[in-house]
Amino acid sequence: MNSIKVLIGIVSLLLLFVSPVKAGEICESRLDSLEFEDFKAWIQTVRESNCARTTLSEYPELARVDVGDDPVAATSAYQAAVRVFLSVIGKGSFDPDFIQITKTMNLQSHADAVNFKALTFNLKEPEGTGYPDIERTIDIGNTAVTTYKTYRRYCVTAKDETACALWEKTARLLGAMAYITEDYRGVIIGYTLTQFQRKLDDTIDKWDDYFEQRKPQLPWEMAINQVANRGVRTKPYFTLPPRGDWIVLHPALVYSHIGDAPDGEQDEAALAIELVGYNWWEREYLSGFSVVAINSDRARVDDTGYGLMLHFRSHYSLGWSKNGDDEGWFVSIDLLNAVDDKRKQVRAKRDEIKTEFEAVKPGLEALLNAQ
Amino acid sequence: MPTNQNSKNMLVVVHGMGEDTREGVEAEVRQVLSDKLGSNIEDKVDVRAIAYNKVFNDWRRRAADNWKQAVNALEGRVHFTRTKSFLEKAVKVNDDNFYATHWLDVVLYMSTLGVRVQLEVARQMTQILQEFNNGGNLNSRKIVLMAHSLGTAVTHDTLHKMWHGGFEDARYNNLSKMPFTFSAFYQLANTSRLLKTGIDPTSRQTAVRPAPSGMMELMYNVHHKFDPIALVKAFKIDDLARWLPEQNWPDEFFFDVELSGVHAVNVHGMTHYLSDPRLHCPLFNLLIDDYSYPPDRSAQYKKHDKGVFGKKVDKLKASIDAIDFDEIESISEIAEFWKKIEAVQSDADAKLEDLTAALKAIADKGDE
Repeated sequence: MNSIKVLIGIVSLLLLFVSPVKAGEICESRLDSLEFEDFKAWIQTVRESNCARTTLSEYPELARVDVGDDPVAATSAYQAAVRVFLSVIGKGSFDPDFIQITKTMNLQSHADAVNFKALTFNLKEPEGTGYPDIERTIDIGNTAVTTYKTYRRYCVTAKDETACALWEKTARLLGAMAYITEDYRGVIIGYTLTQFQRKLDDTIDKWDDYFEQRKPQLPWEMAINQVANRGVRTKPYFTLPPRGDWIVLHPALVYSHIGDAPDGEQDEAALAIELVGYNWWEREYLSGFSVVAINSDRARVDDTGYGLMLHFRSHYSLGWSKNGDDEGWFVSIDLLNAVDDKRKQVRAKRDEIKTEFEAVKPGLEALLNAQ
Repeated sequence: MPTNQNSKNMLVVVHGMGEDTREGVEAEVRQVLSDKLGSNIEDKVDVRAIAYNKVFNDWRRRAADNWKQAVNALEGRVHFTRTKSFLEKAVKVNDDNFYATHWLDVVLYMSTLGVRVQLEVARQMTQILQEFNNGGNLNSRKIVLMAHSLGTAVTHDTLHKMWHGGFEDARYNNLSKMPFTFSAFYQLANTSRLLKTGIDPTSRQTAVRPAPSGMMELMYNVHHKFDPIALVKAFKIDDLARWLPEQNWPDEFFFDVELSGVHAVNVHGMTHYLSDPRLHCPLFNLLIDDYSYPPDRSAQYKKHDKGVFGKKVDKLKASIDAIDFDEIESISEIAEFWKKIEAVQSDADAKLEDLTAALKAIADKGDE
């Protein structure tokens, strides 16, 4: 057992000696001596190698915090880490050399540096939310990146040694920052996406209900409703489906009953044209209404009449009509089918009960006789 | 966080108009990128597609049923014959493969159905981002988003709502505070201005810009010189410094790339765009960690620019130059023109002649 411990110790010592040398080589390579396209590889190496760790060792307060899956803890740790890094980078922003650079290059970064100071001092948890302000942290991070890019540009274009040194230092710090905050970011991203996904699924369900439950629309009704519900598609956020839709010149087959019509012609299939109406698709019972023209072929009754149609659950309709002096009522085929379906269901259930009863009847009779 | 050392960089593709499935788009992109890379792209990059066609297909099926019911109601009536015939035509157009899978999609996207399409894209994108996040190594891995044609409009609108707008009854529930950025957003044959339903994608109001605190580091707008779809109400940033005032060097974050090599009649096709080294070389450089630009990159660009049609392209170019694309407002005009292009794809010689004739016809119409 002891020999294993000794072996682990030796290996650890070796690693301790070997890694910094490698990391040192990478860390100390001059960025300005690299081709621009090599920069991608360089920053990648900084992020993945011990360079980040060696940079971190200068700041013991940045020890990794185990935040588990807790988004609030992750946010706090993320913010704390960013703040320490930025206090270092931020010092660079106030460096007289840096300010001179920004002035020389006539850049907005000078203003950014001032904003940076204000942001750093204001960075605190908003009262009562229990959730630090990530957005502000990101803003500060971006200011730091701007600072870093200013150094880079000045180093590359003006070959200014101070700028090059500052660029390297900032790049290394940003690499290290990315390294330490990776886990925290993962937790925050996962949590944010989960919350977003839930709301997304709810909204999608509502839209699917809308397309399923709304009254069927014909091309011209679609065009009219596009204008009427324009805001639904132009708003800059995920809107809920329209609450209702217009009904315009919509033909439907109905069963019409006119009591005063000659015998045998009282009940007839008729064509109803919904001239204009409105329907609220979510309403459970009475969902809408239409003004209708109704046309049927009966002797001694006007062919065309007018009336009012009421819609129930968007798909079933019942109406009253007047053909000349003759009043009548009508139901939509859907409603008739629904009633018919219901009737069939009741009959089927009745037959089922009857069969079951017939099956137990002899036993029941025997039991009664025995008593 | 779970960390998977094998997690790769990711390319997420949103398709354009047409009958595309997720698997079909993924296979198409893998095929062309593997050909250009000279090895299997899947070894280095996870290619994922977002497909929204099901939303259109469901709508078409339901609409056809409803319209047929109305036709049945009018059956046998002396009146309403015109209405009946109109509805019958509408059902036919809905069933017609070309219109249904191309132009009807465009019209439908601009209706309220567009919101349902955006929600579908947001759902699939959120799932992909969750997978990317679960793969760990967030610092070293990259994720690039790419959209083509109608997909650019869909993606622009969806991203803006995801990262900025949120939901009607929960505006705060958006991704603006999420510490995540796409490494780049490629827009091929950008239609987001042509098919604008809300915010102008070339204005500063949009969240879909490579600005600090934004959802992407870099934006590429790629258009082909001879692609009419990308030329009508083109996505143009006239003053980049005004569009990206937050960036000291905006030209480091936004790239407008014009392609000119003609290697197929359907210059609008996604494969045709991806085949161009001006597009795929920088894309590989972003996505593949050990990629190096080919030493003869400039020569490759020039060779590709020449295309396969030689001098015939000059004729085509003259026709293109004659068109004032800002004058074309009607989608049906573009649809008719495009149908001609698709119709002649089978014959290489005839197709350029027809394409040139089709372009001339549009130019003449503009003169009238």
